[in-house]
Amino acid sequence: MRITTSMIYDQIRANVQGSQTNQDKLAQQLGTGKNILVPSDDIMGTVRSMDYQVDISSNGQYETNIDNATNNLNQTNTVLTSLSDTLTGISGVLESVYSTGGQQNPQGEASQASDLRNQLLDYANTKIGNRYIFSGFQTSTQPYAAGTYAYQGDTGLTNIPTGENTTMAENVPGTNVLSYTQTSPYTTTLSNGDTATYTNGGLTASKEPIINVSITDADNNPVNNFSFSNAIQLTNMLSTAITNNDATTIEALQYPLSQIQNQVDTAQSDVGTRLNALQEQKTSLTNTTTNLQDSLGTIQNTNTATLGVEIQQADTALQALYSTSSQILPMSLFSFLQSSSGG
Amino acid sequence: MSLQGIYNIGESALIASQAALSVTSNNVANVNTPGYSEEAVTLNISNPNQTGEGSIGTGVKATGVTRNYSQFINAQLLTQQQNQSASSATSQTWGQVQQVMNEDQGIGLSTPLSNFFNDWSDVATSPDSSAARTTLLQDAGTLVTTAQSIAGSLNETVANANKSITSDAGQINTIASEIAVLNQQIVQQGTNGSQPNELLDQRDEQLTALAQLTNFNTYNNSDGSITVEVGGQNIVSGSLANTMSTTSDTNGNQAVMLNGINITSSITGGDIGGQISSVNGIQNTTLTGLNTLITSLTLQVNKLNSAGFGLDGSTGNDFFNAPQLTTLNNTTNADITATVSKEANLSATAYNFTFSGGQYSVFNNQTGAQVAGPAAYTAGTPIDLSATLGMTVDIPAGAPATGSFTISPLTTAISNFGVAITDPNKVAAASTAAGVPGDSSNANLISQLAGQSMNDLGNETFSDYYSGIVSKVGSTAQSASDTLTFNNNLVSSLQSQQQAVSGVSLDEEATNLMLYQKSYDAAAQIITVTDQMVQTLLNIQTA
Repeated sequence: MRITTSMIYDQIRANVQGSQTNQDKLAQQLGTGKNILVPSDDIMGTVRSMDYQVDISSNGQYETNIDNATNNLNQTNTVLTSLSDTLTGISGVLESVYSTGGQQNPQGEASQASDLRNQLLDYANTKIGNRYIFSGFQTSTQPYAAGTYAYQGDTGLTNIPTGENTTMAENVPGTNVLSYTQTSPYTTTLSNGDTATYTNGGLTASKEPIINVSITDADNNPVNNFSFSNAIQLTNMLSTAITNNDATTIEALQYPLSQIQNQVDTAQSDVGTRLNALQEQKTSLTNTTTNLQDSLGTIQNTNTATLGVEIQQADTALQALYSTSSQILPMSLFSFLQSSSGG
Repeated sequence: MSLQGIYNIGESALIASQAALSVTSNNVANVNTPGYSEEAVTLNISNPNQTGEGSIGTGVKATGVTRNYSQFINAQLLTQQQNQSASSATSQTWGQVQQVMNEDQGIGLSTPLSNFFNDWSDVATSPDSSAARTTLLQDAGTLVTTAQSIAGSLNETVANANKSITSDAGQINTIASEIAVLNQQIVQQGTNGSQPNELLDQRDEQLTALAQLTNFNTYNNSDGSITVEVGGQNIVSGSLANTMSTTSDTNGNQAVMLNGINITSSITGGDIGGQISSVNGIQNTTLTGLNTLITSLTLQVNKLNSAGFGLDGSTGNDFFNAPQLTTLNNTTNADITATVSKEANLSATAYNFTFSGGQYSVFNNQTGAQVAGPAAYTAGTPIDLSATLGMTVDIPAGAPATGSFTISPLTTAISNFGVAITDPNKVAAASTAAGVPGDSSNANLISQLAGQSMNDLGNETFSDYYSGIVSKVGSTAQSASDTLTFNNNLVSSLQSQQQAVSGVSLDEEATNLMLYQKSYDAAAQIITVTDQMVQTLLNIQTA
């Protein structure tokens, strides 16, 4: 091939530009710490890292959700323990009144019962932030009304997302704690020979199960009928019964009280199960996120050592190019002739 | 053979050497002139004299100056330069586009989209928290702004490409006029009998400039002029140049017109070719993709939000602005209107609506499937497609009997995109009125949309569909850049071949300079010797 003057210059210019472009890209990779500067550098890598980032972000959100739910359930658990203790206290009062076969100090026992009733009401109306924790969906409504002690919430469970297709309830409605459903009638004989029968009285407007209690004597004549729908109402009745020295009613309240105590225990174990499940889910999410972050790092982040070597190589190549160019460019017959004639 | 004859031989040699030295000097002078082809003097033997001693030469004649030129290489080079220029424009444009959605640097829709769904998850966790709701509305606003800013940048890129098309057409016209003038001068000089080397070089240089702008074909005419054809239409014919113009098409893009004919689809090379293909690519792939994504998101979120209940007990609220339908006329001058009548039945798809002979039909633009009709209609009575397509179409009374329209919720999806709710209490987290404020099941459903495959997104999730758009942009940018590298290499190799034939080599010229200087010296020496011979003769006579 015939080599002409402009070809030499063009070739050198193209080589220097190519080399510098390469160096510039390596410098940018080093500067940003990222392998992929624009999607076209590595399309599959871009798509994969977008997928990973979406997953990492949603996992992070699920972890936050789980933390919130864990916090709510932990606080609920604490309150359930207090409720359980209070119910034990009430049971103790009932036992002591009942075991003495009458009242040694009716006024003291009655006020003790009414104090415990107020304590129950306080616990049952616990708030976390602005939310009542036992009123189902009705988080802004006080679940148990003062005076009537009627439930005003509902049975709603606030389910929170803990994974792409998994949810977990973060609350316990009061109906699952301080009430129980008398599924089939229960009859017991009281110490004075009367019979107490407990039947299902349906639901209140707030979906609270009603317990009807009817007490009859040995001849099946009615002695007393009453109904209640939660532990607070029950305790209130206890307090009144103590004041009235109504031993039959006091004894008849023992069975439902134990049922409610069971109910609180069940609620507490349910909360415990949920807390464990949330913990496991969170551990799994954290592991997944760690793996995703590792994979993301492998795709995105530059390997400084490799990059360092590549930059060194590019620099050497450019230096070599400069050096050969500086030798080729002055080569011309004109300059040779001039120097030989001048010499 | 007379002594005078030897004088003449010497003189012819002096003249020839001088001519050769002039051409050599001119070559040296033009070593860096773009488009210059190396020239050489053509030397011929002068007619010999027949004498008694035999045939004796009469010296040398410089009969012409030729340029070293390969039409074959030059034609190839022009074609490759058209491709190179087109790929340079495409590569540059797509390079800009991928910066707008450079997810690798955290720029784009991915993060705002994730945040939006994460916020719904937050609302599901605390349905009664006004903080979670306010954050959701703020992040939804960010999603809207980001989508609009991406679309804005893409539209700006499209607008710039359209401006380039117009300005390229102007430059093409200037070049066409130059070529027409050069054609005229070449024909003129040809009739004078001399080779118009410089004019030919200049015309080739103009063709090289034209190759930067568009693809074209040239035809040599017998008189030395050339005809230049763009998109099957003559732009230069002899000394006549036609004017290329641009006009806005129905999409607001620049269409290229030559001799009254729309040649846009035939222009594939040069800067215009690159700009046209970039405009089509950005609009048909990237913008349509984004519009589809936003429409689908709007429809899905609105469907659930309007079915749920806000903290204030309200229901039926759209979360995002309801999509709007646009109609694009494909054939007639009638103007039909389409309105959203049941948003829940709308999907993120464009439809082809045709009517003729009192019957209408609707086809899905993407799949081609018939989705409504054929059924009778009465002009002036709206056609109610609410139950199937969520829209009502009105062919006005007095409209032509046939028509074809594109009805689409996509066109204005991003420009119309906005958060419709301003009151955080209207975020519908609850599924029932009774469940307010603690029920979060509706918020749960909306947050779960993030992981669901959408029919109108080709059964992909929002984020996968968006990744698809980014990867398409990336692969288009990559292929444009690869094509550019390929074309650059090809052009540079062809330029080398062209320079090997037509380029000036200073070493060669230095040799020629010495060669012709020596022959000039020798010719002068002939005259000196002849002069001495004449002197010798004169001395004999006087002696």
